[in-house]
Amino acid sequence: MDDGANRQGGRIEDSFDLAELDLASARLRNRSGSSKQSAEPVDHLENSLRRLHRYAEQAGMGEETVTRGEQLIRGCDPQPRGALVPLLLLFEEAEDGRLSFDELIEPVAEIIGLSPAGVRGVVTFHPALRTRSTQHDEAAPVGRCFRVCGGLSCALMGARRVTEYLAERFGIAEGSSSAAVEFRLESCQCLGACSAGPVMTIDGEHHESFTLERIDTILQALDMVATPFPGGQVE
Amino acid sequence: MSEHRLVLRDIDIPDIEGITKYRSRGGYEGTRRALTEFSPQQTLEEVESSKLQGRGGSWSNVADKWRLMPPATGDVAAGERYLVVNGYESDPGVFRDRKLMERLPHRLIDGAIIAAYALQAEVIYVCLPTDMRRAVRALEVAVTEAREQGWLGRDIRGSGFDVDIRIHAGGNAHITGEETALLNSLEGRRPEPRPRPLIPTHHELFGRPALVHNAGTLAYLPDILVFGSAAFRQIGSRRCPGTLVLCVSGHVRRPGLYEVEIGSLTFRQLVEDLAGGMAAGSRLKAVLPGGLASQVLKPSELDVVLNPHELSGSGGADAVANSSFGNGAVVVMDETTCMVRTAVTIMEFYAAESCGACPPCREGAPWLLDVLRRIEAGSGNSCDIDTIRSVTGQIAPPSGSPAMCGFAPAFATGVRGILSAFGSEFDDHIDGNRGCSFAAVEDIRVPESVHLRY
Repeated sequence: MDDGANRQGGRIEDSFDLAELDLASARLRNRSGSSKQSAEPVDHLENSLRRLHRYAEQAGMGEETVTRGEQLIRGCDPQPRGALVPLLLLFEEAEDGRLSFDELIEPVAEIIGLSPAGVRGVVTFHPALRTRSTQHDEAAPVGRCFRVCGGLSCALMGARRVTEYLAERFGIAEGSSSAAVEFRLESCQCLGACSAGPVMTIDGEHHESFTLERIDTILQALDMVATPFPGGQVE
Repeated sequence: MSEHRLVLRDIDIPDIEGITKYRSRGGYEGTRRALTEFSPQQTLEEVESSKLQGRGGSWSNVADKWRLMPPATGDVAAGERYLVVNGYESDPGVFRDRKLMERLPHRLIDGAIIAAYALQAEVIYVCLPTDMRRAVRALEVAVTEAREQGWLGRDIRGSGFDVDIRIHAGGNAHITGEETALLNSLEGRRPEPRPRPLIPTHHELFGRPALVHNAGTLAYLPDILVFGSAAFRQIGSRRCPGTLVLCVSGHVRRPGLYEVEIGSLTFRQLVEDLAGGMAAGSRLKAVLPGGLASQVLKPSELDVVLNPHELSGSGGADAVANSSFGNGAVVVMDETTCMVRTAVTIMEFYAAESCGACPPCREGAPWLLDVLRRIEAGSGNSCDIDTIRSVTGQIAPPSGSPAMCGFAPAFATGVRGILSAFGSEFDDHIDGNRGCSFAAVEDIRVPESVHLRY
């Protein structure tokens, strides 16, 4: 089967089934104990790499990103679909926040040979990705994301006070983004540094063991204004 | 009363993340020995005779698990076999594998190669949540170094054995740490647990045999290969040799990681001596001995020896016998802690992280959270207590849970434990609709120091 010919149009709604079928037939081969290969196996790897290059060209991505993308896809040989989350994150970083997760779902689905619905299903499953996919109107830049750990150990060390303080400083409620200034405050589940609570991440960078004074220092270092912001919208 | 560092003995050494320093501390000797002096079968036998047990919380023999992999001969032999290293330990209260990956990545790689050799796996996937950026970076650097020096790749050190490591930084949903969910995640699927077969068997990744291993367990392998299984059995208890890496958090003077010999001390000694006792001005109220799912212990119940097989969860009348050793997360709470709120915090985690695949969890967790919040707010009634008992009983009955994985039974036993130990506090919230009499928002506290922070 010429897998590539089916893809020339760029839309690949059917490839989800192809990937599934291939996996299912591999399972069946193993179960039946026969090592006989079916006619010519579909070369998912080569197809994925070709589609990656095509997308990178369209989107004008740097060479470094393409090389990294290739590594990620090769790392999931024989099923490029495994590179789903790593590829999404790579593209997001490469695009430097210009594209939202929602816009990346289709290209990534195409590259790894899944349906967009399949990719969306995974994205909305992971808390850290979920919040990034329900974004942001186009005009607003993607802002700094403050995630305060709500695990038990952090809660015992005063994590709620931290959330309360940040909400007050920013003039927004937990779980929402401000429209005026680009940041978002959310409470999340365990960040895995429980002896050093309270813990939070700012744009994914880890901060731990802080007091209210240290939060101020961190905010100043990040160039965030020290007075509460007026207004602010709740989603 | 002291620590006994085995896995973490080099964690204080500067630059131990680098291969040069790791090699100078005897690193990769275990791998060299396995690959040049042992056959895969002999490696497995050496590990079997060490009685090493899984540190991910199962405490079952590692060698038994390895034997579940189909042999690398015969019809199934054609094609790849996988070793999957589980770096997800997203249970609240646990942070040891993260520190291990950040500070001692070569030790993990060393152990993973040994396991891959015994299993004859050609590819090792190291999976961890992408949030753990420092660990991802440390592992990436370490894998490159190991490849350059010929510890990974083709024909390692002339042994004819090929293996490579691929780092897979994926999403951060808690359930990804469940082994079959992790395999689904690697295949680009939603990380939902797969249905469990009645008889334990090997798992499959991309339709090929795969074995999922906790990162912390692999870190013991290099020493077992270098110093021998007999020497390893001298440490710890007879039934469960080795050390434990405990994660202490909460209201103690010195929270942090403590590596101790199994069976060498009690929870009381851990809290009062090693962790420095309660923070100034606070008095002990409760200890969760093994994560959120373990039965909470009161101050009078702390004289239990730290041994996975002492707290067995095997039933019985008292709390100690009902508790389980769990995952080594020791959470210490003082008298200012409201136990209803603790239950609420626990359920917030489970309600947020339930994957939704099976009803006991998808329906049970948000529902229990609602009831507990109602009690905390002072609008509960006495029927609520009975309902919590009955529902947690249905989710985790003694005969075995109807849920697909251990997630739902975990919150059911955790909440039931708090309710049975601190029932009067629940009644206080309900009586006369008083609600919570503790501070509405806890103040930020700073411990004196954090042990092994890095």
